[in-house]
Amino acid sequence: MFRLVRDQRGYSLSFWTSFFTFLLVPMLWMAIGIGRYSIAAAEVQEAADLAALAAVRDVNIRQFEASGVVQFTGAAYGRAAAYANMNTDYLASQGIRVHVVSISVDSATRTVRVHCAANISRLFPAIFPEIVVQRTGIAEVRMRVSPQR
Amino acid sequence: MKRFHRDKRASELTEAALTLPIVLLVLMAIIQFGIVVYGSQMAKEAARHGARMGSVVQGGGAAAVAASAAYQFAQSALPIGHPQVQILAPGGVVGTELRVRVTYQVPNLVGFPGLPRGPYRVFGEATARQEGW
Repeated sequence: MFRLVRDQRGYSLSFWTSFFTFLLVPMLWMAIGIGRYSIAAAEVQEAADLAALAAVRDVNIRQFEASGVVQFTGAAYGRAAAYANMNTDYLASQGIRVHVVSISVDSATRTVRVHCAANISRLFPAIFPEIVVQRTGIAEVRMRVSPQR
Repeated sequence: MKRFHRDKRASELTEAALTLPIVLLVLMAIIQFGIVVYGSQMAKEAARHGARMGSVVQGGGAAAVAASAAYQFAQSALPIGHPQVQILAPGGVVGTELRVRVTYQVPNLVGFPGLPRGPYRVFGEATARQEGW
């Protein structure tokens, strides 16, 4: 046994085998994984931004002119979801859909927040727990009340 | 011949001469992969920028503004990619779609026999809703 430990033949081969198996390949795999996650997260953010900009046009104008309160028409949610998924090329190619989780309005600042989420677990091996990316898109409502009213 | 086999002089140089081309090829492939991924991301970003700029234009000309903005962004982000801009949906009318596609022809740096030749084509698309107020 001591002879085996002291024996230096094949040392280089075992060193490089261990290096590739336990360090280089996992690091390469991790770098690719982080890259895929970053691309997916950026795409969800972009989808949320463009969804917010699309939804912001579906404000109930009559209500706003009457009371000054910003409220959405019924079409806003569907519109936001449609625009979110129109702007996800990579995720769509992987069969992943972006869901609009919620739309909220801040009447004081006249801003709309569209909260989007996508389950990107299928980009990674099944050993990982569920990976959900959540991003919020913000847009400002731009309207003016007619002066004659 | 036996003496030649047993002779260990310059063996490291010979090993380096054999492995260096492979190492360089792998390095070039990594750089190429990076440029292609970067090009893909920048194409998408340019398309998004163009769509956004076009979507806020009032009184016509949304498609022209979108195309110009997308091209300028794409050109500054990756000049070697020879960007091309297409307007897939013109927008212009409030509430309509304005869809922009930006395509890059990313140069192929690894011209090694057996590997793909010619530039890599990457593109990005973005859709914005035409605004109006």
